[in-house]
Amino acid sequence: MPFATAHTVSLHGALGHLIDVQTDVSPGQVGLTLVGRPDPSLNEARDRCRMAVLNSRLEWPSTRRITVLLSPADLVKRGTHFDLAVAVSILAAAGTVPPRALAGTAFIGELTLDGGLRSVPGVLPMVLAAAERGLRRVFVPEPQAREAAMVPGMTVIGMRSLGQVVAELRGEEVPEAPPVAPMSGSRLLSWRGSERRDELDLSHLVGMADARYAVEIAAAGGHHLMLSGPKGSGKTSLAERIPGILPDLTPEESLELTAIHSLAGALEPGDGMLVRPPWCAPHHDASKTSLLGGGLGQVRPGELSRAHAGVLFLDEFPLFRTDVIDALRQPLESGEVTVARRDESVTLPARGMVVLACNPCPCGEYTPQVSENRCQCREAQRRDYRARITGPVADRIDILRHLTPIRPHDRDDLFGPPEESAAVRARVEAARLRQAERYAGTSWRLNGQAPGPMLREHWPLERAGQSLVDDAAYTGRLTQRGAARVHRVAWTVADLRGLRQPGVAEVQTALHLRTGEPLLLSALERRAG
Amino acid sequence: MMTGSATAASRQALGAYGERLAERHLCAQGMVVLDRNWRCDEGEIDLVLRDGDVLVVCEVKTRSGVGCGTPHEAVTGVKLDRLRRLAERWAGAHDLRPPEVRIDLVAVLRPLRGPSDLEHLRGLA
Repeated sequence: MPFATAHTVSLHGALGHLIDVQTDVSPGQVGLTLVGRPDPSLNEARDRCRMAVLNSRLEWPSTRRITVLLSPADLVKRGTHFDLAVAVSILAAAGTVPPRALAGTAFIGELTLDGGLRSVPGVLPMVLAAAERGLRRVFVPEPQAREAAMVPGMTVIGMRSLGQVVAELRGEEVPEAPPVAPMSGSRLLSWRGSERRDELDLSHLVGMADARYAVEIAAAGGHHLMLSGPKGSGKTSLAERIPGILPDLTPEESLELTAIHSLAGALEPGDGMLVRPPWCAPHHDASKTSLLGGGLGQVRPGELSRAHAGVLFLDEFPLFRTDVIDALRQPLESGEVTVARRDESVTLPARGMVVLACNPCPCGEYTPQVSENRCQCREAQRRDYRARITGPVADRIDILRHLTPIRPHDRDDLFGPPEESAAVRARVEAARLRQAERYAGTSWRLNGQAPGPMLREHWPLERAGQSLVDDAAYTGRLTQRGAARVHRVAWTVADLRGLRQPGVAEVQTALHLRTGEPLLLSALERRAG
Repeated sequence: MMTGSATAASRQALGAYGERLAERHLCAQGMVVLDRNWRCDEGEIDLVLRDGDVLVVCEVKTRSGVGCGTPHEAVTGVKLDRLRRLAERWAGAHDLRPPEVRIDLVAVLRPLRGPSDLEHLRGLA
């Protein structure tokens, strides 16, 4: 029968749908019809496939009517990675390739006119989806074979050309083919790149014991953090050192993050699995789309998702556009971003730590001490600026720190020289391990993600600690949401110290961290346990 | 398009050869020829046949090679539309009301060396 089916995957966000490319080749008016809701970039596949087949010296059924159906037909299909599946299914229907060889196999890749196989974004999530649906073999462009091979239980065949794929399917010897140049996106500059951040160590920050402890707690529990302070008080320096005290990603996080970066087309051929927490610092001009994800056609992950399991740093936070700030509310709470479209609704994970930095006023010079205040802003300006900081987003921040510029006498550290990042990272790792054990079997991993009601029910505070929180809520120092946040942070402080349950001291520390009051010296002394 | 060596006369001869071959093939299948090379101001029908009750309008395409595409590819949607109109005109001119009309294509490939290849496609569009 002149009929064949090849499998491929269509991506909707990080969700992959298995697509059957069904081809019928039979007598009739000569031509190629592509049905099943292809978008324009996919419609062009007809020409690419024809030329690629002819230029691979394979036979194109040019005396037949070819009908290609992308099934299920109700899903909109986008992208150029369907080429290989379309070409292979036509060749199988025409009898060039045995149709049985296509069973249980997915085909992913864009074809060039000379029959080369070009890389496409999103190979990892596609192969994951194919594996979940029971496919056991996948053909991908050669540069992306490593990316695809991260999926367990999949036989990955990296190929350079259509000719090679056909030879492999026929069980013949695979011919030589020139490598296909990688797609755009080569790294032009690495200024302030990840190499530079490897050099940053927490021990460089002398005299900031309070802030360094706050950052350690935020990292251990995955808490959102706000750093406020005048110019030069070390907000950025502090934030940049957070990835350095985060442990390596868990295998699960690593797969999620790599899939997101694959979708964004941000993976380089040699990258492999991403194992270190990412750092994203978009400029305050960033649009809602660039931050949350979206865009024309295929939904691209935004910075919030690209910082999944890592750090998203928003410097000069009040200067971000109001709609951008408001759009952050829901993801901060739920740890995921949903982009709704007419035809589809796409949800991407976004469980990074969000670190906000802001000045005390628009010019960045204001300090409450009158003798040192060089601020030129009018009071009305300062009020507007503060209104943006204290909005609904700030209510979703677990830890608030006010930083002051270091003065010479602050350099004499009360607790000896500052620790190196490696020592802090070890404590953070241990604290995260305790949380993982405690939350085994739930959908969250860290205190910062734990839902308040669940915490109160299963992991309560000691009575004295709880009354401290209740008092603060009663007197208006804390909102109801704030009380839940204090509860979470208190658990993280206890986890860092290896305690079974947070006591009064831990709750006290959490309360100060939430309200922005300086930590007690006794809390800082207890830091290392 | 045309190679220098192919004169108008040789092209016509090739076409006539293809039509003879097609006619022989179709008759062998039990069809009856009603008309050949019927012309009107809209164009020409190569062969008009009867296949049982069905009126068959047949286009014959003959090529000596596939350098300019296969004979099949030369039959486009526009050409099929014209053949449909011509079928109507032919039936009208002969005062016939056939219950069914079909458009067929016979593609003949006559390479410079070796045997000719013929393919009959029934019911295009």
